[in-house]
Amino acid sequence: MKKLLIPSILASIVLAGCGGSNGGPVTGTTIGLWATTSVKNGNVYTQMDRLANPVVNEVFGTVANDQHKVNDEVGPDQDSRFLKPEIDNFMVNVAGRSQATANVVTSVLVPDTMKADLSQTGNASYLGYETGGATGGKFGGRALTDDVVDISLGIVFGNTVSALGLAPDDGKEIPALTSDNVGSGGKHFKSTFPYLGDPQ
Amino acid sequence: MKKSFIAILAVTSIVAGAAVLGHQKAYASDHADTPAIAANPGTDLTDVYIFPSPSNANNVVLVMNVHPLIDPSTKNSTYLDPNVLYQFKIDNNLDGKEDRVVQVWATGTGPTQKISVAGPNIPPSVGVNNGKLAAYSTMGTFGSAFNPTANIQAYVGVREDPFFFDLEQFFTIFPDRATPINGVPVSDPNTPKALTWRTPGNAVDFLSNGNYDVISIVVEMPKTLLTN
Repeated sequence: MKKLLIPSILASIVLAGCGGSNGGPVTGTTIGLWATTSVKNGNVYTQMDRLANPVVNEVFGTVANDQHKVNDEVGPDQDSRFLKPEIDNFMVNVAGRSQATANVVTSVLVPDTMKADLSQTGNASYLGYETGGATGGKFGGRALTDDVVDISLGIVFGNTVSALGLAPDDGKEIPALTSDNVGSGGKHFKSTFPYLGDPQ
Repeated sequence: MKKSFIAILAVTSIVAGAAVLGHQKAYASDHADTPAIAANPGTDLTDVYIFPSPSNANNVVLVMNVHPLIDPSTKNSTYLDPNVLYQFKIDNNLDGKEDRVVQVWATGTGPTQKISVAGPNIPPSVGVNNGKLAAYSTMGTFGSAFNPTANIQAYVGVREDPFFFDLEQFFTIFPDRATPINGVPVSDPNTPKALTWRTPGNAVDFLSNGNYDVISIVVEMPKTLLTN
C-alpha cells in the first residue's frame, strides 16, 4: 500500500505547503480534476452534476436516500462525509472484500478527483498516478482508450490491490467478474484535435 | 461510468422498460442520477478525460461529455444547453477544492450557436455556487474547432460516445441498479444475480452498438496554464 499512497500523500504534503488552499498560485505538477454543470439560480450558477473518476458514484453510491443526488450536488471536499461510507459499504458488504482492501479503495477515490501529474511525458493511464504507473503510466488522468470498467472491476472483484502490495490478499476474488469483455474496438478515435470520433 | 449509468439507465428504460411503461414515461423516469438531471440532459455529465496532447507535447487536453444517448436521428439537431455553465475544476494542492477553473458556455441555439471559453483562472468563488469569469473575446461556433486565444484550442459539438461497457450484462448482474428507471423492485438489492460477464464473442458494447453520441467539450492548452 505504500507504493500506492506515498505519491499522493507526499504530493499533498508538499503542495499544501506552497500555495493557498484556493486561488493559487501553486507550483506543483499534480492536479485533481473534475467537471461540473450548473444552472442559473438568482445571481449565481448552482451545481447540478459533478464527475471525475468513472464508475464511482454510479456503482458504489446506493440509489436509496437520494445518495446520487447528494454526491452530485456537493464538492469533492465533502466526499469523506458522503461518498466514503458508500464505497466502504459496497466493498465490504457487497463485493465481500477485506476492510484493508476497502481502505485502499477509499484512500484512492476520496476525494473523487481525477489525478494527473502533468510533468510526466508518457501517455495517460487511468489511476496511473495513484498506482505509481502500474496501470500503464505515471501521468494518470484518463485516455480515451483506457478500459476503465475493467480497471475498476479488477480493483473491486480482482487482485489488483494485493498484486500492487497495497493490502494483503483477502482471497475473496471473483475472477469471472473482472472483465466485461468489451474493449474500445468499436470506437473511431482521431489522432488530431478534437480526438473524439465523428458522430455515428 | 457516470456515463454508463446515465446511458445505461436511460437505455434500459427505453429498451427494457418501454414495453411496460411506454417510451415517454420510461425515458422520463429517473434515468440519470436525479430527476432534475434526467429532465435536463444538458446538465448530465457522462465522462471526464485528461491526457497529454497527441499533437503537442507541451499541451494537455481536457474533455467532458454531456447529453447522453444522442442517436442518429437527433445528432444534427442537438446543441449545448445555453442555460448551463460548464466548468473544468482544477485542484492544485489536492485538498478537494478548486484553485483554477476553465468555463465554457453557449449563447443561443441551433447551428449558429456561439461558444464562449474563459480561463483557466482563479474562480470568482469556490464551491457549488459560482459566477462566470470574463470570456475570451473570440467566440466559436457549435461543431467547429476554434482558438479562443492564441495558445488554447476548443471544440464543442456532437461526437461519438467514447465509453464502452456491456450494459445489458451489468443489469443482469445487478438488476437493482435498473430499478429507478424500469420500476421493477428487487427485494435484495446489492446482491449479484449473476457471477460472470458474457464471453468475448457475446459481450456487447451497448453505446457503439446503438450508434450513440454525446456532446463533447474539448479544451487543449499548455500544461503550464494549469500548474504555474
